[in-house]
Amino acid sequence: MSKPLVHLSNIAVTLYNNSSDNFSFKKLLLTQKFLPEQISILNDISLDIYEGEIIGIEGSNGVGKTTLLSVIAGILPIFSGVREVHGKCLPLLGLGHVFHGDLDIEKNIELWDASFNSNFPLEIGFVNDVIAQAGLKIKKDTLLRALSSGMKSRLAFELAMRDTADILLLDEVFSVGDADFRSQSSQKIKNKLKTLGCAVIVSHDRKILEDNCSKIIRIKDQNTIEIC
Amino acid sequence: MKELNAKQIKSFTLLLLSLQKKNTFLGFAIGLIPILVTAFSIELFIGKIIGGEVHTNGMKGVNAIFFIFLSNAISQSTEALKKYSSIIKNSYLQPITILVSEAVLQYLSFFVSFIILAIAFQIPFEKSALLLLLSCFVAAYTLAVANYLLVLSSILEDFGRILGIVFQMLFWVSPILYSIRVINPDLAYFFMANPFYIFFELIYLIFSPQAYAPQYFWLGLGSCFSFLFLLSILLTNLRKKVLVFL
Repeated sequence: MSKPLVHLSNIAVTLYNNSSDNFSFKKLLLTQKFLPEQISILNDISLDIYEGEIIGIEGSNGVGKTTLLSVIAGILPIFSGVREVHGKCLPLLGLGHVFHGDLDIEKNIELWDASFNSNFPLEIGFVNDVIAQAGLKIKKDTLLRALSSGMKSRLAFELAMRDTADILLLDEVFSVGDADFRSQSSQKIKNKLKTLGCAVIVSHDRKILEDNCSKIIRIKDQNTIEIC
Repeated sequence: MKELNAKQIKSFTLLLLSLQKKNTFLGFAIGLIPILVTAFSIELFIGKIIGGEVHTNGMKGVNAIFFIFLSNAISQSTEALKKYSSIIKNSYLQPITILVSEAVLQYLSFFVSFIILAIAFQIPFEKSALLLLLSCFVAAYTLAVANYLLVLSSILEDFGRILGIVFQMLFWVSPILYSIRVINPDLAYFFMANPFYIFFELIYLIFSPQAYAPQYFWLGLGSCFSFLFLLSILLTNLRKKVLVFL
């Protein structure tokens, strides 16, 4: 069998719980506890993804689906285990998360380019083409905060489709936008998936996974992945 | 350092320039006003009242802009990490990119302020060149300190406020408005525990090389490197995990 493009072996991911009770210097002085409480998100998880495979991931909220994508992308450091990825990843862990509301469309495309090392040809023609293909009737100097969340998703989706990644990681990307956008994006993504090395799709919608993926796995808990 | 990506730093610095509205001449000039007002008032009025008349034209103003640069570069760059945490968590934008970009913008403001001060107070060319060379060392040291402190900024939510208080205190225990040589020598040694003291000693020596005192120089240099060494021992492991805290 050929070498997997993504190889995760016995990985463990631990995060720090700083969401419910923020840590401050005052608290440090009162409790003498320097670090927030640790939470194990994934433990002893192994996964291989081979060329041409499109893996669907399902699981209940908070079980670690996005964390697993972040680990594959190399954004989140692993606590233990082995992570080997051959190829460039494009992690779409939510459309529009890498945009900044105070920048205009052109600058946001530059921000995307810098954030994902996309190497887009950033001339005026390219920017206008992205706007047109995303189906947006706006100027390139429109501030991003003037756009609705659906419009931001369209822009992000169009940029994602133009990125030349080998491994595409999609987190609930299909569930945003209006019906028109959903049907268009579904078709575009199907075409894109044919040109990729492999892809991982996270969704709560079983039908989306069945329509697009060659294999579906379910994260049951922090220790267990099962093939559906 | 594998996190350093020159193209990303260049792009993000230009975007930061737009975000801070410093991408136009007027916007950049407005950003300089507080720095220049502080430097000129320290040089022309406050410095004379507190530290007495010093026959080195422009030195107190230069001290002020060096301090503003290092305090702003450390506090702004560590705070910027929180501001852009959503982008960092969802892409390959590196924390070090944000740190360097913010420091570059602060250095740009420092550089222009310095040129204005050098012209206004007729600082000789060779002294100006030495001061600019020193500013490169200050920038490198500042980046190294900020690189370790950014992990604290992502863990402790009030770290920005604490840093503000620390820099306020450091302003008064640094020889910006006065010379360390007018202080009781026994007390002066406490002032040298300040890790940034050496930079003001070097500025003093550039303006008055005849005042070289080995004990001030070496103790200052020792504090400076000891502080960095201490930070590296305490925070290197946490720094590697900074993304986990965001």
